Amino acid sequence: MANDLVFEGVVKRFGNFTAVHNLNLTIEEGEFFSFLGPSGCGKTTILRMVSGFIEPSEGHISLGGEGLAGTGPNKRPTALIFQNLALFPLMTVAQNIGFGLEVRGARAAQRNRRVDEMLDLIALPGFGKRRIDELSGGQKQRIAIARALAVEPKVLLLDEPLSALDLKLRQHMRAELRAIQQRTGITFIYITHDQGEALAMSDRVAVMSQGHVEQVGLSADIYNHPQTPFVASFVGENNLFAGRVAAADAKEAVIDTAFGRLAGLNPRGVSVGEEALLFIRPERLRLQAPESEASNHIRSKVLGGMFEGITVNISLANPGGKPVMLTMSNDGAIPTFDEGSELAVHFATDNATVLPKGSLASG
Amino acid sequence: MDKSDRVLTWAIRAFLLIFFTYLLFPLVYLILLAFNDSRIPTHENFTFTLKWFGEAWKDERMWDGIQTSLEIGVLVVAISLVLGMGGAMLLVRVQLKAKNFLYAVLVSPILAPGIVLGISTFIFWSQQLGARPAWWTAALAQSSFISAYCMLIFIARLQRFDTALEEAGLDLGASPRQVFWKITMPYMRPAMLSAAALAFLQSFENYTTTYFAIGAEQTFTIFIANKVRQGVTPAVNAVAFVIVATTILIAIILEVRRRRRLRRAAEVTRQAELADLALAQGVATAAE
Amino acid sequence: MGDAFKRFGKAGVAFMFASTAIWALMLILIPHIMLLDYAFHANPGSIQKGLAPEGLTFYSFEPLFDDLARNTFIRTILTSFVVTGLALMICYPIAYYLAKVATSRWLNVLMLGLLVPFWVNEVLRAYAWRTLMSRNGLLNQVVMGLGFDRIEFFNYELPVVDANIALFVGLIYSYILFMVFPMYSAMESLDKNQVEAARDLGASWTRVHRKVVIPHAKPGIASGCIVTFMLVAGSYIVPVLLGGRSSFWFTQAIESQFSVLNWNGGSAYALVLEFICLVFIMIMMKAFRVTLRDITR
Repeated sequence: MANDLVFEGVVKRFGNFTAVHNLNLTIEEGEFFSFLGPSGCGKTTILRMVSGFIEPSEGHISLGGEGLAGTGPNKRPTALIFQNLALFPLMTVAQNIGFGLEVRGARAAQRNRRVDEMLDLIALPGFGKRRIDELSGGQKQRIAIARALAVEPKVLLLDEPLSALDLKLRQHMRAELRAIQQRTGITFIYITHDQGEALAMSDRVAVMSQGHVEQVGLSADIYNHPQTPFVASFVGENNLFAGRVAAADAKEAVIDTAFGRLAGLNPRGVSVGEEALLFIRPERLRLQAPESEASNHIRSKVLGGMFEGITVNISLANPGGKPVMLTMSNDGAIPTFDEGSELAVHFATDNATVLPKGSLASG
Repeated sequence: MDKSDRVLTWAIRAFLLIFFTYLLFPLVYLILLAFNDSRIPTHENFTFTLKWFGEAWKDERMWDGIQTSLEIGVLVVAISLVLGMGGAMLLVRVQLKAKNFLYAVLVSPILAPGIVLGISTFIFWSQQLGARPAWWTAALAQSSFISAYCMLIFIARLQRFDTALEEAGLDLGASPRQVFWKITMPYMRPAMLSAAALAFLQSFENYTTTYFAIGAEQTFTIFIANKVRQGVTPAVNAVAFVIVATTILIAIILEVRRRRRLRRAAEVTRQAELADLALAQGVATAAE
Repeated sequence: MGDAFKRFGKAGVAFMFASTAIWALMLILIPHIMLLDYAFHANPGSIQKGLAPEGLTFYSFEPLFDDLARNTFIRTILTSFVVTGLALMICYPIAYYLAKVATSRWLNVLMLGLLVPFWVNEVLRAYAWRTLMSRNGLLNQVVMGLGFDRIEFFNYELPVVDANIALFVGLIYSYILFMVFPMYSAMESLDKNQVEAARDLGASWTRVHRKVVIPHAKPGIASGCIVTFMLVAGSYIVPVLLGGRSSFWFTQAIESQFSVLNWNGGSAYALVLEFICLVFIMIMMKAFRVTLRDITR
């Protein structure tokens, strides 16, 4: 499409340290796209390259077919929402929002009209004369967005804007941001380390680790079908079983683990004899009567249970690894579990994924 | 409070009393003599009069001196604000290898005796370059160290500047010049004002550096010094009274304004906290 | 540096460099080099008379070894030292009281009481003392009223410093505040809780000051000492007004060189004065282990 943002072979080095390795990606016009990853993964560097504060060491970034190299941040059709918002403290709300137009020489009437439009968009009409230090956290967020949108950028860049807000406000703002993006149709590029946020708001997500893009895809795909151990362990909670591949074909693979043979999908085509990891989400484990012999079962001692309102989490012993987590909905039919008693759980092969050994998300 | 603490407290209070008396008494005495009807400044045979104020007012040379001091002051403020700002920006915002060395050079005039600054200026501009020592050579001599004071004020203020604000300005389409004038300078304004005031005051009351760089011209301070050296009437005391009175007045005004500003700031903070509190409790106030 | 160009544009970066270059070169370095140049050359008059060589020479420094100039120099340095030391001892309690003890109501009043004399010119401060200490001035009237002999403030030379009483008192009076403010500033940033914690743990006041306050206030103390020393040694009008007939000050020696148009001699003396101040600064910085940045507020 006309205003797609394209990364071709983009690399960024700082001295000996490579912050971004060979990024090749196309972000489509009108997408809500997130870069998700822990701090230091390179997502901030990417944002600063798009906004023009840093130039790539290699490769090109282009918007709508035109290369952005050599264009300063003030000449690019992008706008950045800073992590600390960077609202101009000595100016009023109206002056903040109108700033982009003011520096382009727009006349007062035109500026005021746009400011009013923006204030309506963010549902804060009449706030023009307020001073920045009089605003609450949520209000400041929205003013920052209005200020950026006022210059009609082709791409809006958001640098973890919600990290400083408390939980309720954050959830409220997620919905707001998504709504604003859909209403304006502008491409949003959002960076965060909070995977719940990324998955909830985005059309597509790119999971990053140490300068590499591990996987790009729709939220559901990222969650349900991770392609690398990092993605599997970073996004959401995941149980991990290590072992050697005993059997494999194009669709499925079976590995020998401490709990016996377990089978899962084989998206990366692991072959027999390889060291591999099997991932199964806590919510996909099901209780099983101890006597039944369904495949993919895990029998272990109960370590403890945590009642969390909506869900109940049970942890099972896993010698040599992290405890196995089982998450169940609090649907009123949960039996009690005694610590130390044996419990059997099983899962469907289609719900598990076997991936080659690789680096995991820490913690 | 035990006995030794109490003794200590009273000892300190006595010390403070003696100190402040020592500090203030000579000045009080000085300005009181302005009101005595006597040919030489003395407290004897005290007869109240205001005539010395009139005498001082009529002194042409005093007014010339004031004018020269004002001219120098304005020039010094202009030079010092510009140089101080340039130096501060360079030291705080630009990556330089020789930063410490540069800092030492620019700050060195503060640590050098005023007479040396005056003389070196005189030697360079008058002896070497042949200019006649005048009010502007004095301004240059003063500017060498007053710029440094301004620069220190600016550095302190700049270091607390959130550079993200500059980036935001650029990102929204402003040119570097627009960013400087619309974002950075408004932030620096309080520092500019206090630096300007400081620069002017330091320039106005400077004696030694000025004396050695100005040649034959007279500033207000030099005028007073000459009067005192030559032989005095209480007219000088009258002038001293005006100076002290003005100083006290300015100090009081500044203090009142400072208190008012603090009160206003506290009020604003309180309002913002209330707004956030309401939001957190999910209350739909008129604002949200 | 590339980042700077992006942020400030070519004009901005050019301005920063140009203004700093002008300041450093035209107002500081080149005049100083000229001073050095003049100091290490003899004055044209002496060269003409064959008394001095052309080119680089120590000739202009030689009069400093004569009795008069040497005694003047020693008097100036010693007095500056003693005055600085006295100022330090007097101002330390004052600064501490203002920074840590005074309640905010009193603080404002006391600060005002300090600032007003501070803003009044050194000329007037010296003049006030001259009036007070004259032969029939107020102080002598009090002294004689109490039955003592009149004190010759301007003629009685104090031991060690070899300066007369009037000058000595006048110098302290004129520059004492330059000691208070840096120390106050440094002490203000000390968290009072530290002092209270030390007291709570049983430390005596002496120990509290020695171990808690002074280490924290070091930059302020060093700064105050440096500035005071420099101002006293470089003071001109105060010795002129209060020096009497025999307490000649080094700055006056410089002036007397200039008054006979011996720019070279004056430069040489000025250089010596500056050198001594520089040495003092270095000693203070080493003794208190502070850097240049620390002492310049």
